[in-house]
Amino acid sequence: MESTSQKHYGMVIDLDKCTGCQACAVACKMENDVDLGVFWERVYRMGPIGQFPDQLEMFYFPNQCMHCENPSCITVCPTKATYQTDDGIVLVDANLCFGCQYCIWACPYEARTLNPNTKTVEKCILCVHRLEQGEQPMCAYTCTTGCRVAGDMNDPDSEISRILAANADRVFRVHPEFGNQPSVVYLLPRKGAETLCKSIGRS
Amino acid sequence: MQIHWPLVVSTACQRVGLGLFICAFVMGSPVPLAVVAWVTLGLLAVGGIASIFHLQRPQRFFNAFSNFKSHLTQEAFITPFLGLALLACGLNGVLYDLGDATFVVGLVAAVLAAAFLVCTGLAYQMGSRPAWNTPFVLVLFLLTALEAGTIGVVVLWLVAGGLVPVACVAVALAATVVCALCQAAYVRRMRSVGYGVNVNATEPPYRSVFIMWVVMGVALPLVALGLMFAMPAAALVLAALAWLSCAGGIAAWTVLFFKGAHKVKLFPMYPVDLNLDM
Amino acid sequence: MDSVIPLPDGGKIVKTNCFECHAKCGVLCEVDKDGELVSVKGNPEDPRSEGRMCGKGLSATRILYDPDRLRWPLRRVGERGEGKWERITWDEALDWLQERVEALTEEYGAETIAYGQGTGRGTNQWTGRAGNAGGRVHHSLSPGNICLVPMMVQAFLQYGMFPTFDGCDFDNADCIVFWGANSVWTEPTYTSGQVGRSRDRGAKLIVIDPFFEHPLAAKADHFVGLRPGSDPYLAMAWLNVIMNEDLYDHEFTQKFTNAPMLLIEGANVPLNGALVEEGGNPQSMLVFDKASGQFVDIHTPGIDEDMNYHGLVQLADGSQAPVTTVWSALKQRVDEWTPEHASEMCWVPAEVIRQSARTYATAPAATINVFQGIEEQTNCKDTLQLVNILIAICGNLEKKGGNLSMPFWNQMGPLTGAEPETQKELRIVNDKASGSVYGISNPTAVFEAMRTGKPYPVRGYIMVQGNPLSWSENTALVKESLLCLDLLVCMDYYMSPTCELADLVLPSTHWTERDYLADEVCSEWVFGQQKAVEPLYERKSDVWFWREFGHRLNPEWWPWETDEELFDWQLEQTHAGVTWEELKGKWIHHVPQMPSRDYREHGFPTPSGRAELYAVVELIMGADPLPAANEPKESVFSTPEIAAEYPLTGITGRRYPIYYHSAYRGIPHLREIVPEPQVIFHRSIAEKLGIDYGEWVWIESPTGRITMKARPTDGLDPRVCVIPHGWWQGCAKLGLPGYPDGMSNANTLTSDRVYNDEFLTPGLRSTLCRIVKKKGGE
Repeated sequence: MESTSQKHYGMVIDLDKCTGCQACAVACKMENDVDLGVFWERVYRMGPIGQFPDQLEMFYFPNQCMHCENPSCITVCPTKATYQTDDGIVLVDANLCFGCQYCIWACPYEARTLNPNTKTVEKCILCVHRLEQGEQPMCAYTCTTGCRVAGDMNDPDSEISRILAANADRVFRVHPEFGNQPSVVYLLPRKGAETLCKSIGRS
Repeated sequence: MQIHWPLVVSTACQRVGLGLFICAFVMGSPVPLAVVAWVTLGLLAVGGIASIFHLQRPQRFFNAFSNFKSHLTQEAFITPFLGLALLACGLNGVLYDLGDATFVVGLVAAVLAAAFLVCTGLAYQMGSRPAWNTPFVLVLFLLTALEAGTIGVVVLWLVAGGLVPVACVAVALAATVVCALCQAAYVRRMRSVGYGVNVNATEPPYRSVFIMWVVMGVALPLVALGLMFAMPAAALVLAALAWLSCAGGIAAWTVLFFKGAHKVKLFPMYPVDLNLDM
Repeated sequence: MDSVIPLPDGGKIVKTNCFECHAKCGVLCEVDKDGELVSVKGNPEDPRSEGRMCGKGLSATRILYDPDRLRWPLRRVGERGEGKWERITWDEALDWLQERVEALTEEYGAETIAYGQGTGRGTNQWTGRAGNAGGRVHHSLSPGNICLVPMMVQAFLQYGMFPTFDGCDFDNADCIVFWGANSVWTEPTYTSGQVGRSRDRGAKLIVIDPFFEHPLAAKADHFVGLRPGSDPYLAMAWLNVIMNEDLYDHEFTQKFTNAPMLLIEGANVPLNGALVEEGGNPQSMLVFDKASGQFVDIHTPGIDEDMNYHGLVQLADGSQAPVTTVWSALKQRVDEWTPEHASEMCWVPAEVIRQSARTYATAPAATINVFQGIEEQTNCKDTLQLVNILIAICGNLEKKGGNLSMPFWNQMGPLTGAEPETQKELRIVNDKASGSVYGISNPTAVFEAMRTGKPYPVRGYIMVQGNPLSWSENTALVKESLLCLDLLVCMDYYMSPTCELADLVLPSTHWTERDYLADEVCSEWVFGQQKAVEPLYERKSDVWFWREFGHRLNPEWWPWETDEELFDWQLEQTHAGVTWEELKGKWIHHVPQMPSRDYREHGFPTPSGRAELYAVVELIMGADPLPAANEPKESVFSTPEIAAEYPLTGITGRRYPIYYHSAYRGIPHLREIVPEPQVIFHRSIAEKLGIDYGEWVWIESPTGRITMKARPTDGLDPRVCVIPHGWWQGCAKLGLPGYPDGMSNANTLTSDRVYNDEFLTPGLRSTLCRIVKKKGGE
């Protein structure tokens, strides 16, 4: 009998592996034909901070829409252009959006950009068109370190679930206190993010 | 954050105009409420045109009525009713005579005006901007409207008959003081909101607009209102000055309000921002 | 045909390889029914990259169809550098070029034409062949001396094969060392996924690099943030720890390296068979066999070599000579470099040196990758030799999880053809460096010959994929030199600053537009790099140019009528066991391993049959057969008078993962990620000089002055700065400027005064410089 359980798409990103090579950012841009000046994926560098050479911290942080379980953007969008699919992907219907940018204000993760050409708001779509074909989002497909995996978090046998289970001590969501419950989950670096780890009570 | 100028203009106009109408209704107006309604409508029209510049695709405005959980939708929903109510007030004595019903129509308009201000104020309260993550935001939205409204009523009195009840001036002074105190508390709070986005309003780049608010929104109105007791002959001029200065002060305050409202840092435990350099 | 998969809508998927860098990741190119390239992504079937791909390769559609790319042959009208061109046909271009080359050859001799390349998109061997075919001398006017040649040749001299680069077995290593290498950005193919997996299972990571922003530095178990150019001291100190704490692989060192080989002390030459016995073999190198108590040839099997033999030996001529072993001679050089002593020169704490050495040596299998961080130094020969020694004595050579030989590199000889008899005599070197190990001309000396006509005139320079105004030290002088030429020919993607000075500019096909082989840096495979689309406009491949033009000038050197014939021949030389047609059809083919993989059976292809710590061939070439702790020739220690004015040690050449050297700053979606050149230096320097982040500042050296935006960091020693190279191109779409006249070109600063003697390498990665705040209005 076929399982009828609800899918919940998410992504795990292992910050211990990310080398900040920007391949994901470029892949996203190419795959989704994203306009110049608009960024659905950006890779930031935290640090280096501290004293050279042995008291320094640094890690890379790829940022995009977190596809939250309780998205701030959906609550505030007056046109319902921003919506969430049953399997947890947050999307924007560009035909409804009128560019009020309320969602950009409300998003705590700096995930959304106003496209100056179309005058509507855009963001990561978790390559929903690829997920539907059973393929990884382009960022995960091309990641040179293999640190990104998307999949069904409700399926305990999916690769993402197995990675999260195997690395439960490093699982980290950004700003959990907001209650957004992102579906994009990070794995803390084993080294190089001591200040972050200490401030969230991890070793 | 980036200053959304159309919103500065529109929210300032909304507060000055709607504040005036509500205070005129509640405190009693020496000038027919219909006239006040027209002033309010005029200010709202200016604000409305300004906010069209904020919308990137204004032709899709009618999409705004879709999500009643969103304060923007609530605002949009109230707007036509508010407009109609104000219009109904404004046409009273021109197209028709409402007589005793004037009060009811005025009440409806005043209630809708208050609701509009509440929705707009609430729209700015959000977790993603620690400076705005406080009920202060709504309170201040209303208090600034109150300050402009009470001073506006003083002007109405002086325009109507050249004299104004001391109580009205006292109320205007009190409203200004209370508003200023709350604004000062908000400014103080900005210094310790955390998430890596503490703001000291007395330092650049906030300093100039902070000073503008203090001068135009607090000092000038208080001084002008106070001087009315000493120089009753110049009362109208002083009151007008106070009102215009207050309006300008609200605009300056709103600029500071935007400027000081940074998005939460993703990693506030680090002193340095996310880097995009390579 | 496996490699082209038709799609239902009339389009197709082409399996080929990217060539934005040398790694050549396998890719899937989607082409629509009209033959247009739609998208590019990694091919999961590539055993190295497993479908991963970096930002440069992914940008193929934008690079292929970039309107700024060259389209047809252009010939100069007007003054050199004026920018006036006439479009001509390929036939006209080749006719004209042939006539010019023949005329110059007639007047000045074939040595007057320098053949060269820049990065060379797979043309290393064909550029070499073109130069050798001239018959007099191959100048090789290319950045080989700063890239690949030092590490490859030094490895060949010591091992007879090349086991760093794509030979690093990251996937099975218990300890991974990146020494002057940033492979996870520059060749993620065979590094990034593998490094991550190994770290997940507990492998240790050591990053030896001056800059903490190396993407693996923060993740490393040991970050060794050393002074640029101080690598020999660090390597000596590692050896010091490993030899003295007995952490080396005894069996491998004794049996498979020439550590026990006997040397005559003082003279430092091998004790050979003719010296100990009348009529003995002068080529026979000796060891002392403890089992028989005799001197025997080093190739003798089943002996117990004495690593520490020491004594006076009676020679055949009756004299006595003090004899020692390579091991002892090495130890003597190593002994003074305790971690404490090295620490003073490296600016790294002694304990870090000690612990990192122990971590490497005690790992069951460990691999070291090196690259230009240690190559672009005037002491590169020493560092490379020392690293090779470390790999060998720790038993990581040809071992799973260590450094493995890879087949391609051994075939370069037959592919380039024999060098001219007059190569040694006619190549141009000067007193700055003899090039004892690398037998080509020193680029700086060739540029001088262009200007002065000494030692003889060099009037022509023909290159593919090269922009010497970006890769060569002392840009201003190079420009002056190029302006003196009678003939300058460039084949490239874009109208680079060098192309602008040329007589003939030829349009080169992008990898999506050309058929070729992917063999170099392809580990154990060779790939059919077939084109995804037909060449646009009149572009041709660089390989086609060398072959066609070569065929016109020297048909006996270039007998192949078509590129396909050439590919078949190339595959024969590499013993691939497959033809071009077959390879094109199957896309990937496994190539036989080198015999040294099974060194117990076959030994190593060196004079001693062993991995050589003491490089016999280097002795023959006139270089020091053992490594020394040489200081960079221009540095805070060796030239304090220069350092007094220019106290910062500047590193040029740091990579970006989205650009390739001086290419692609015109591609808008890449440029918006890194829009401007930034000089990176320590925060305290910024404070001291009153410089803010983002401020345009001067960077000055004895050679020149450039400007870049300031980027203060915590991640550097305050005495070091990082100056990126390759900034010339503007991006009109983004409204971002170009940087003409070398104004932000790192090589405007670099020195042409000092070179590594063996490989003719300038010290690009330890350039003395200073940062100066601009005065108002500058």
